[in-house]
Amino acid sequence: MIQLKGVGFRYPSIKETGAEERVLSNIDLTVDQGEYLAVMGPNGSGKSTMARLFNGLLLPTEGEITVDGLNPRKLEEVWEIRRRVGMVFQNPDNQIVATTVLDDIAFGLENRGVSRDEMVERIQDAIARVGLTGLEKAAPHHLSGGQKQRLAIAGILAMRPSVIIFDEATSMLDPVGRREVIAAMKTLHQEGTTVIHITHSADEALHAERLIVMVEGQIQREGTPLQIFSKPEKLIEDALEVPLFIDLRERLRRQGMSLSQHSANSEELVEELWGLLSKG
Amino acid sequence: MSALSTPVLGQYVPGDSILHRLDPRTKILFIFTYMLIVFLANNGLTYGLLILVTGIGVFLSGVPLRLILRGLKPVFILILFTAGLHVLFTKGGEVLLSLGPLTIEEKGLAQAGWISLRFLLLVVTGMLLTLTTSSIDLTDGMERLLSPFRRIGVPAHELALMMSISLRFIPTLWEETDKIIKAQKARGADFESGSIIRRLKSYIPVLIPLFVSAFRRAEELALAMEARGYRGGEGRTRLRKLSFTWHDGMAFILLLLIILGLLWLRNQ
Amino acid sequence: MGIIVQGLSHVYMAGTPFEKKALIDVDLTVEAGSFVAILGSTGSGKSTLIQHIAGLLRPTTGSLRVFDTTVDSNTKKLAPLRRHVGVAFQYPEHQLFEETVAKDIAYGPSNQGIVGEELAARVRQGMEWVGLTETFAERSPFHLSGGQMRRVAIAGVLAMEPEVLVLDEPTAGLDPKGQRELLEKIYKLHQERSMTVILVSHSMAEAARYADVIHVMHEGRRVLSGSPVEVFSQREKLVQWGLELPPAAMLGAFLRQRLGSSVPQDLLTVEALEKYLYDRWQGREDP
Repeated sequence: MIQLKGVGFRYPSIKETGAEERVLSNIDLTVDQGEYLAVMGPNGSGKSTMARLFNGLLLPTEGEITVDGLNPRKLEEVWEIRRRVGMVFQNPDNQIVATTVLDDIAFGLENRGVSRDEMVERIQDAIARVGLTGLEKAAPHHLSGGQKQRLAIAGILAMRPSVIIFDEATSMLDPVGRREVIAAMKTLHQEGTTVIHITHSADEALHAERLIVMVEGQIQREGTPLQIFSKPEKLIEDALEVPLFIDLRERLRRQGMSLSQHSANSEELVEELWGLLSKG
Repeated sequence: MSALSTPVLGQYVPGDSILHRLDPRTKILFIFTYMLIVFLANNGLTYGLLILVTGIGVFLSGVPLRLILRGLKPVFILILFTAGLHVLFTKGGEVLLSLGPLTIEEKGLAQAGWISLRFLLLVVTGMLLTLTTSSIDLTDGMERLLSPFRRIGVPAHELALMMSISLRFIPTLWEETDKIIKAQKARGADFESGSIIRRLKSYIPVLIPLFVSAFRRAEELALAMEARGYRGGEGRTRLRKLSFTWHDGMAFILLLLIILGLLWLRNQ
Repeated sequence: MGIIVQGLSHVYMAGTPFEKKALIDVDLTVEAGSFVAILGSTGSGKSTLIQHIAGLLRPTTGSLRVFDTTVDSNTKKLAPLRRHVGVAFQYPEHQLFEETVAKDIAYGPSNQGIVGEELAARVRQGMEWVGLTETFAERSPFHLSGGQMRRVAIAGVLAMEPEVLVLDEPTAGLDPKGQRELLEKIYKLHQERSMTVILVSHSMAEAARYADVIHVMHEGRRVLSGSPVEVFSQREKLVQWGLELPPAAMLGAFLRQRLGSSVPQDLLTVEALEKYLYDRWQGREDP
């Protein structure tokens, strides 16, 4: 469980360059064990900064954050936090350290001093879970984008984490790669891992149980994805893309068609439309 | 021209030859010793032995010869250049040709030949190491060979990690360079004409973005490594274990025989 | 006129163990003044194809003609092609290098030999086209946001006033608002200046919304061409090639399943769906 109380953050160095100062302010948030949480918001809204607070890569400048009761301000606890909270980054290339799949998955385990026999076992398990069997000796630059991201996931899985954060991890992938990573996320969630997915894609966010929308360093909306997308306000429309079926539904409702806001996907909307139109 | 169309000099070629299977530590020690003893050669017989050994090495590696020759292309220019210098400036023996103030003398020509041959032997042997050893084995071998020197302050782990990361990112940065060159070419950059100064200047629009990108990657990678619990070499375990087999023993015996052979043939 | 590609093949690293056939016998036409999308998954050859059109790769076999310039495997200089074609690769902001935005945008046109007042005018024009105000001119491109840097880079290409603009994944990494704004600007330029645009994209929705013609690439071959309606009626094939339907076409497919084949195929945007359903609801649709 990740808990944030009154958390704020400002980057110290950026001020001097005169560039835009990115700040998080007054964030209260609890992420429960096993939850599937999506985070959306325009670029520069503080999504990634917040994610980096979750695993102690950054420390809050105001307020407190705990991960399973551990405090990232304590040097010994921050390493345990990083084991528990894994992170898949946006650029697949810039997170792979080693020159083969096998060695890269081993990297985190080696860092923690896991014994060799256990390493071998955990790596086999992780490779099978992300479906990279047969590519153990492949070099990273011979992998596709989706495979690279699954390699990153395997490296985290081997650490037996409780939370995995995907920081725009699908944004540089093609449709196939996206599908691969989303499928992996769903499986992880079903197996009990907490999944936090930062994304610009409304369709991807729909898979989550809860969505938070960040604007200018604050949490502006919080609820189920369907609730949030169904209340199109200027603020939300500017910051987000809304799934097409909801966009269409709300347009038709504004035109006076009596459609409910219950449909949770395209098929359900079509069912309702069929009912409405076939009545004549 | 696409950067992708020219394989990097000595880029690893996966395979299962005897050379591929040798312990990387053996290969590193063998090749470095071999590179030193190349300088023992002083006559036709000794050079003949070295050519033979190197030739056998190339054969055993199973790497296609034309790939090695292609990789050598840029090296040939360097060889021609040094050979040229020797031909012109090493004096002694019979004067073979004189053109105004320039003379080509017998000793110069011989020297140029030997030096070129030696250079070629060094490069091909070096290539054999990198062609048959994956970068991870290479760095691993280096780290373990260096680790006894940790006590006297040699940062074996850090050096190996640095090397491994560099090797990991060579293909990435290579592609990136190609992309930036193309992007600037599409904006009308001309890298081929004008004086040397002009040409060097024309690469600024390539070098700046390349540095910026390399630094950005380094920053992101450092973050990712930290996120995966990296905190230096202390207390780390290793997935890879290296073990010597009888092949390695044979290699060292072979090396000894070569050295003895060279010493003997030197005085013939 | 326009672009004609004939029997184009390209092999990388021929004669090495790393040999790769990136393009196989591709024929393709792009009409002058049209908006064309090229779709395909990673490794389908689309990037190699646009590099030929942009005059950055020489065909292994086959030829291509861009306006009045023809290139084949024997062509010595590719540079003449580049006069016609401007290209913004993926993440074009990674090619910025100058101290100021204005200087960076001026790089392309000044390589074309443009100087003085005309150069300054080109820079202003480029900035205006991508929606950068004058205040950006003297700022360092490295201190801008990602979206702003992207615009500077594209302005640098536009300032060369190419007849053909090639955009490789122009919206990758931008947020939805940034994506919409950028593509709307490009589309407007295409219409106002009848500039030929070739858009390479992973987003089916972008292709559906803007393209007149879509070419689909798969494993080095051009496997399908046609209008968005024609291309997006081939759902199974697209999925097999690692692509998908745009969300609107997906919903349209569901509608056809439920309401029958009277639902037209050309409902590829939310606006088209809205209009069709509203009209049908009102009972005003044509039989």
